Amino acid sequence: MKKQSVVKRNRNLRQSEEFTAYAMLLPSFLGVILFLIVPLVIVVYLSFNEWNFAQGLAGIKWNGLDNYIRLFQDERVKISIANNLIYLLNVPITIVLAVLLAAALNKYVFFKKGIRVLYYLPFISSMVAVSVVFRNLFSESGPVNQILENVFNVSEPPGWFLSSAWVMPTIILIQVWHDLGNSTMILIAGMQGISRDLYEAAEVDGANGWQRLRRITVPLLTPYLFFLMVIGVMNSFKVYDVVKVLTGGGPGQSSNVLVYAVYHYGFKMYEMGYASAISVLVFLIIMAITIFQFAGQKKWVNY
Amino acid sequence: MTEKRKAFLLKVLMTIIILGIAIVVIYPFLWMLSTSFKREIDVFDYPIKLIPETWNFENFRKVFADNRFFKFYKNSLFIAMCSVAGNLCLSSTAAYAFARLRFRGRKAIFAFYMMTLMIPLQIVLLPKFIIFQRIGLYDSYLALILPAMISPFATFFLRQAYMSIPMELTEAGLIDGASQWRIYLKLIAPLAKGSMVTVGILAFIDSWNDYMQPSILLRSVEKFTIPIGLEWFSTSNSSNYALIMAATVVSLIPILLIFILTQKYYIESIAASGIKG
Repeated sequence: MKKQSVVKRNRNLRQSEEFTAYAMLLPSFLGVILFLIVPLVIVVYLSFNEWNFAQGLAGIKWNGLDNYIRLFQDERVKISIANNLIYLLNVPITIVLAVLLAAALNKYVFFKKGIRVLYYLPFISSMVAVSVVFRNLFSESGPVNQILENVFNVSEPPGWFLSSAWVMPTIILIQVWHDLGNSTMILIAGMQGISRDLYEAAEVDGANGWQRLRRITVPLLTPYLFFLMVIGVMNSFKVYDVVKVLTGGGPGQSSNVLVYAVYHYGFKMYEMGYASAISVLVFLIIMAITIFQFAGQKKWVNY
Repeated sequence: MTEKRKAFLLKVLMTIIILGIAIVVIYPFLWMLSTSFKREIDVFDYPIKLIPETWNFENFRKVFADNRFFKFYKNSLFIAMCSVAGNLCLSSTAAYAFARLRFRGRKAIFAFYMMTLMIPLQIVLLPKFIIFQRIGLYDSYLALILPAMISPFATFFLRQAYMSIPMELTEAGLIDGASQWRIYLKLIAPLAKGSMVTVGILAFIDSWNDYMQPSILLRSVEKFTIPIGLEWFSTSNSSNYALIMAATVVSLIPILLIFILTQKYYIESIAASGIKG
């Protein structure tokens, strides 16, 4: 008799626990559906349609794969894909610099807390503010070119973001500058998890600083390097702010990137269907590369 | 002894090098700050003087005299605070359910949440723009606040924090007759305060610095946030470099203050999660 009531009480408790769980989850879950899943479904649907936004909902016309076929013939999209690929260079550059900086900051430097903050400042600054400052720093007669001309005797300094050859390197430079502190901090966190004994043993065996970095630190940091790589690659395909504010995709179309192309077709030309197809392309590229990276990690990441 | 001395000298040398590079890294900030106090005609003088020869406070006066800049501040602050509060409420309750309650479908729903982490915000912005146009939220603060309340990342982060708290606490609470809501509010959430602060700071900075969403979802200048306000200000004063730099300084101050005040939490958070950006 008594046992039965305990069982019953437990069942009630479980049921009420389940009810509480759903109640707690519901607002967030609805939000995920409403602001992530529904938009994703809409953008996929629109990518198979032609829709000039100005014509209202009635203007939506199914056109099958036309948008996707157009992607392959569109000069702007081709330039954008090429630029996104070039832009990927920011990832290895940032990681290499961050490894060196983290190794130095972790062990060989006084006042490391204060210095860390300095390196971190770019990362918390908005890309708009950063772009506005760099626009002046790198302008034709701006401070950077003044220094190049007068200190380093460069007779014809580059036009930076005003030259179609230099615009992507300039943007990569800004991105590296922006991310370096954050990547460094993540790696320092990783380094603090490495046992001191390993370094001491290596020292006894006569390994120098460089060998210790290469043979101990870097291999044991691979999970962190992998993480930085995955996030960095994702962010490289999402880049937009700096292009929009600093270059407007120019000069000409030379600094167009995919998300900027979405903006161009969607919000300037109001070709919502075609802009959706570009969005889907970005999503597929990010997914494919991320899956590829996870599949490849066994080869080089040590957990 | 000589070994020790060598190590010490190496450390001094490295400090000088790393500090030197740090100065190059923050040079854009130094230049911005110094330019904001210069007269327009001195901006591109060479040799570059980081300490202005003639101090000029006129730029800041002009920025503050422009009422709209204050409005941008207020808008950004309002949107960021609502986003943070909403995000914390929704993400922490969901995280509590995932971490500490048993219910059918828990694993599957959590896996679904983790998958949504892969959806780039840049990709769903266009359909969100269309939806908000249809339902009348376009050009309103809600268009920015509502989506910002949803964060699978914050949910994941808080779930990890709640999971590290011993289950015995919940059992003790249940024996005392407390409901799960009460246990969550009075026992578990207070213990995860540090993680909540971290999530709050990250969400605040994200909202404050967000450029793409407000630039697409807002139209009226009086509703602008700081980033689009700054862009607008710099295009409408395009050749007043010193003035633009003053506006940029003003736009950066809150976030720098927050960062310096909450540095401990912030740096711990990237150490703990790694995820950001």
